[in-house]
Amino acid sequence: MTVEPITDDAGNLLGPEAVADPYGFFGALREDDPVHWNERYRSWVITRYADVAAAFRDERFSADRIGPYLEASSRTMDGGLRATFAVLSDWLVFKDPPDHTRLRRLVHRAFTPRAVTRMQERVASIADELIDAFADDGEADLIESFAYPLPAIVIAEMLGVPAEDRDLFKRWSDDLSGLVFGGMEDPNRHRRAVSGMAELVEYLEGLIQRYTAQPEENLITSLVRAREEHDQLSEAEVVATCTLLLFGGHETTTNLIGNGLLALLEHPAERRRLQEDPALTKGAVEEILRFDGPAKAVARLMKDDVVLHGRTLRRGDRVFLVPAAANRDPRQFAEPDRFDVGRGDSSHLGFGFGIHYCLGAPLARLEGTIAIRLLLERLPSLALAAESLDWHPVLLSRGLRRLPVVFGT
Amino acid sequence: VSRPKRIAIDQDICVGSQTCIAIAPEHVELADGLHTRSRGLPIDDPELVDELVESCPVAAIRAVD
Repeated sequence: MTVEPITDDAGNLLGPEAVADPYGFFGALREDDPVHWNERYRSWVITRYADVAAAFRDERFSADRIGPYLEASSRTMDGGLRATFAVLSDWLVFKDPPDHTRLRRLVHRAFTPRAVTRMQERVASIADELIDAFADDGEADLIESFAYPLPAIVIAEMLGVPAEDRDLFKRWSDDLSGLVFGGMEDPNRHRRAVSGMAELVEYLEGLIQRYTAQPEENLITSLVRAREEHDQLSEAEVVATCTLLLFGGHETTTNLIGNGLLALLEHPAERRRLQEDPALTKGAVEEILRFDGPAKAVARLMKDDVVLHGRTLRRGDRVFLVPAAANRDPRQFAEPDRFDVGRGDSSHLGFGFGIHYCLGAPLARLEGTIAIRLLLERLPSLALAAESLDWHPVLLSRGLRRLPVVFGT
Repeated sequence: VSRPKRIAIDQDICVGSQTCIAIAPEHVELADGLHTRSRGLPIDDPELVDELVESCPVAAIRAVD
């Protein structure tokens, strides 16, 4: 599963062109070679909407890609890396049923549409406070000042993590993201992930101990209770689930908000439509998820042989399903490269489909809707202040490092 | 005593997360390998009806008399 970087740039899914414009790069594959074998990463790349949607629902495309790797490599693997992969192997996103079903049932209640609606006022209040902090400056990096802290504070509060510690877990999350999101050209990604995961686990173990001794109304206490009272999950799974919720609870939403704001800044007519009719914002978030969503690709491991478009995907092969290409497939969406906040179509695969449909989707939708509506309302003259954009060079996720803007005060 | 209810699932909205099947396989089943559908049986327990309605990540489930 580990792929050593090679010098030949052909087929580089993380080359500058593919990172800057994955829609052109993967779109070409979608039209010419929809089930593409990529030699550089020794993986299949599937790009058409119908194929990606079908694979999401097909249990032969297994989400459990960490366990087999850990099993095969544990003898040769460094202890720190083994410990990191051991935590990841307990993330429910890397589990197949029945473990996936059991873990998801334990946490899904906190993220249902009804549960999330109750958080609406709090999310808006946090967003307002964040905007207050830079509204008089005339300029800001919207990733640093807004798109990152909003979901980070929300998930921290849900878990019971003190908000003032969010800069700590930002660093640990950044360290982890190269490994989790497929930053395969970064030679230091394993070292950084080991360090980030070790510190994150140590920090969360302290909080778990605290809430075991003094329970409060938060997600960590719920998980501890599930472990202690119902024996529904192991101690390792409590820690792993906390790391997943903290990491997953903000990384993708940061990118949803950041990519969405960028799309609106680059499409002034669509932005004006939203400003004139804020009721369109909910639908605009669906369009952002389709047009430039945070999930560029999703990795799967074949559990059985599958023949697709005349190609045989063998048991054990790695596969990248590419929602970024599927969501621009003209077979599914009319004028797919047009950003249209009134499109009114939420059949995109931005949150996946099937049993691994994003657990946090209702929360991400709420945060995205509130963030965009409030920002456009309070800073109507927002303008992009960057000549070029700096995207995270990772395969699975799509997000900006910075989003510099200027605005009238 | 409240009357037993049934649940209805909007197949156009369902994303097949199958959380509802995990909760109550006796009341929900996979329709076409993709989406879930109600088995149409009356559910005596109002808490179970609530739990099923609330479990859906895209609010595709509603209670019906």
